[in-house]
Amino acid sequence: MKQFNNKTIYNNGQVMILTVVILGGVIISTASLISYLVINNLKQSTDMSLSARAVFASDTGREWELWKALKDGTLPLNGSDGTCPRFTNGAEFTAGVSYYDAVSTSTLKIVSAGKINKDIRVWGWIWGVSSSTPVGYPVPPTYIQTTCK
Amino acid sequence: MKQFNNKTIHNKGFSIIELIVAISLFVIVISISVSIFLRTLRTQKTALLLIEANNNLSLIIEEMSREIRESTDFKSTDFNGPKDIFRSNIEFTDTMTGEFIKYDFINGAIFKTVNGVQQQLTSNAITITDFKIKLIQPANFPSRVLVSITASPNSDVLTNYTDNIQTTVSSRMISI
Repeated sequence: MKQFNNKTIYNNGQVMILTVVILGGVIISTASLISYLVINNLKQSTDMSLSARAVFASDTGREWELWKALKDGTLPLNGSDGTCPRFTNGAEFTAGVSYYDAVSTSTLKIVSAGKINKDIRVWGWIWGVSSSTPVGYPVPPTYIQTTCK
Repeated sequence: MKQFNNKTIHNKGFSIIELIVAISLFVIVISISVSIFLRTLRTQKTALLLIEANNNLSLIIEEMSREIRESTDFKSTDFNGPKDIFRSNIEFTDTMTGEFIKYDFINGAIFKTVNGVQQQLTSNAITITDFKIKLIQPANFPSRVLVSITASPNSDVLTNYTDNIQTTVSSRMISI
């Protein structure tokens, strides 16, 4: 207790309340921190779902380019044949194909990017064309891309 | 204060008002903390459900894709209309293993049958709400198969959540 202006002031209670407030602050801070970390975890889980959609959209683009290449050997088709894969889950892909290099016409380079919202996943693929596959693909002057969604 | 063995002992207690204020504050703090903690547990459970649903879908669609790439003779037994409609099952022959494989959508789950032996692929923690197959089979060209699977976790926490994964795979088995 203190003496102040001839009055006795009991401050034990204030100390106790202060202690409780500090303890409470620590407890709430800890709980909030844990909550923040878990919410981050949830956000990552949601992102993972979108990521999987983007990965499989990318895979679809890769398959699409390969299928066109094997279909009739007239690279590059531009997706205007009406069979471009469509998605109902919001995903899309942009895929491109060319020869792996300017010299060899037996190896294709396929790159496909699956996208949903801001999530983008990319597959790159080198495909060796066997002797049983039709030959004579025209060499694309630039990297021709197709977008399907 | 008291004198005891020449030591001064301060035994002044707290007033009832101080105790009530302190206990009230503490109860409020603890209530908020418990509320945050319970919400955190619920969120964690939600995250695990999302992960499980996504893992199930990814694994199934990956397994199907791998088998479709190396298979031939694609057909569907629920074909009752135009050739390009969506179907709920698919069967084919795996050229690498020689196995006859069939995927079915039965009562909210996906079943795989290999040479007549059927097993459930999806976990009981999720319900498959939609399973679509579309066969694209132009003459003399490799078959393409569109696979679309939609699932929702079996939980009161996530009642309206569904996850959908789609892919289109082409067979590597070319008969030209």
